[in-house]
Amino acid sequence: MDDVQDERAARERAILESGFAAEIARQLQAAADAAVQGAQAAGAGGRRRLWLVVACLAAVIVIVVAVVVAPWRSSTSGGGRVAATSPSPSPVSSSASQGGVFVVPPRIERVTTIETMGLDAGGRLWVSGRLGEQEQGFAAYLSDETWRRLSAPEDIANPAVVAAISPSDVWAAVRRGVAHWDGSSWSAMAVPWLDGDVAWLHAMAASASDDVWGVGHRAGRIYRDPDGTRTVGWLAATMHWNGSRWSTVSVPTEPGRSSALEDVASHGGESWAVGWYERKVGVVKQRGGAPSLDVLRDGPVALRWDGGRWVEMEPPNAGEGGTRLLAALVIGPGDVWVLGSTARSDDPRRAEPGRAYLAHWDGKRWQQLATPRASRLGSFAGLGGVADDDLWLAGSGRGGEGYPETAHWDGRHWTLYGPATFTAGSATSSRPAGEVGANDPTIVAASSTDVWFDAGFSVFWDSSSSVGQGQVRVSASDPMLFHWDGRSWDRVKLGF
Amino acid sequence: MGTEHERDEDLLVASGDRPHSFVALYYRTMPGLLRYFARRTLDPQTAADLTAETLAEAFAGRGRFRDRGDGSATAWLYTIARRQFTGYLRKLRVEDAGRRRLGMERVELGPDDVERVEALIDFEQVGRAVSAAFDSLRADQREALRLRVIEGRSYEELAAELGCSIQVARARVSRGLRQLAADLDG
Repeated sequence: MDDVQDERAARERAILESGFAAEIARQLQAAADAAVQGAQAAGAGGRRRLWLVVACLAAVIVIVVAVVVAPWRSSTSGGGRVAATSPSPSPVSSSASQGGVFVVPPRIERVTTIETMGLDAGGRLWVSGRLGEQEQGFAAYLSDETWRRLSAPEDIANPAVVAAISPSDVWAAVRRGVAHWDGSSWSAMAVPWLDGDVAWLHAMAASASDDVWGVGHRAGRIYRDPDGTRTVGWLAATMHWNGSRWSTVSVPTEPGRSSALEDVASHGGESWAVGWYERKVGVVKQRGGAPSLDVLRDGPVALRWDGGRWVEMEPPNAGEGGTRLLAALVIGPGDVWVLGSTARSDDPRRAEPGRAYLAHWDGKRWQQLATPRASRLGSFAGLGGVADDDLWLAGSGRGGEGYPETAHWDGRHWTLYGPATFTAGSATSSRPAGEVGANDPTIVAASSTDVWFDAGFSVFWDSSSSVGQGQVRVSASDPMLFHWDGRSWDRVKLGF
Repeated sequence: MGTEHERDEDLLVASGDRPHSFVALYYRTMPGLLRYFARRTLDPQTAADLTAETLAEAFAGRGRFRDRGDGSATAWLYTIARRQFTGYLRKLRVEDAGRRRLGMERVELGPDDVERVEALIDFEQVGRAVSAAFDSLRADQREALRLRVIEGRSYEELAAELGCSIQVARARVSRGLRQLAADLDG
């Protein structure tokens, strides 16, 4: 009766029979193996749990075969392989459509997400993000315990990139440039390296009205490998506002290697930009005469502004799987912290959550500081603090993970505030359907008793809506914003 | 357990302690996610990368899922997908943090794979949907979009041609695009 649905089902079966779908499944399987092994290693009563896991594993494999594989096999076995384009009228077993195959993406009706936070020169907290069904960008600041909101420029490209000096001096990333808020209106400005389609501004930092930095990356030259493969390299890029104009400031890069800057921090005349570059560590030969592939790993990049140019500070490389720097914190001149992530190993069988990479520059040399292990598969990616003995790390998982957690360094010990701290604080009347971690969890400290943590958002799902055809709506998403007053973490509501 | 009608939500909850349940969920949800991304990016390889990253993130975050009834697994999964997609629009680069952490590698599509993903996109249908959505726009927005997006004219030229201010021309284009996006979504 429904040819369109049959055709869709046939195309989806063809996808699941393809090589790449099987490969992704194999890799997920390996990750599941690793997770089971990790659980065994962590569990005290290992042996009993092992048997439980083995039993469940067997049961699950039976389900996979029974529920997922068998119906498709049986429905395709008659006519052989289903060609992707054939309008196959073969009957579709009901369990295939039951299994969430015909799913309409959910509509999100009320959205409030925080994309980033920061302090302005007056110590006011700023947040920026998206609001409402149209996901309009906004920027807001907290003044005398009241939120005041600016509507963002209409073509805001990225509400994660907002830097404020005061409520009448704010910068935001817009399409092909930046926009400035002077207290009453936004004005857009083209910026040299952003004035193209393939350039990204990842972060801005403003220490004064005439000292604002923007960092990111742009497409480098397109070069051809010997086998003809086109490769687009990324090149780290920075720009500076001196009070009257923006100018591109060049970055030391080696030809032929990609690089990008993820964060910039500026305080007391000291400016740092951090990110990563790609380094070639080997070559893999492929079977069947296919072109060989370069094996690339990330290396950490930390640049210090010496007043006239960016100087590479070469933080220690760690971890055979490569290191990326994600955040920088300038405490003062000659006192800088950088945070990154390290992939410990390339071997999927030994996959384990990489620990956060934290290193300190004291003006003369680098020193790495061991970080606590984040819970389960979470990781720390946010860095804040006001002194070397008052540092905070923040994690939220990334993307799909909602593992809000923070760690505090008092100069001698780490104190962990795990996910339970933050879920206990979310005493909302309606229960969220899940929590989604911030892409870039941020933590900012105005003082040791005034710290803010953006952990992502909660998703509320409207159970009253029809799910007949897999039509689902997410009715709302609420930010997970927390405040530390020196004693405890408490959830904060945005007042708009 | 093990009935034919085990719900997505049950699999997702079970995968917290029994990670292999997630593989079963993968087979159920992967084609839908792939279509979601393919129709938005119109690029098979990018769609495959976004799908893999979304599933890696979902796997890593499975312990945080709460079963709130039929459909909540889909809502949760597509919230992650949407997050991935907006991140991609922002940076035009697919994140790999989730996959890196799980030790998963990027999977390159072969020529056959590309064809299958394209079949999933169904360009013909997308084209029909785009032109239907375009036709259903308000006349002033349609005209502004035609000049700006299809002919690539400047806002100054639009304002002159349409006999309105630059501000109004901008508003018509952006509202038209928003309307198009809303009509095509889902």
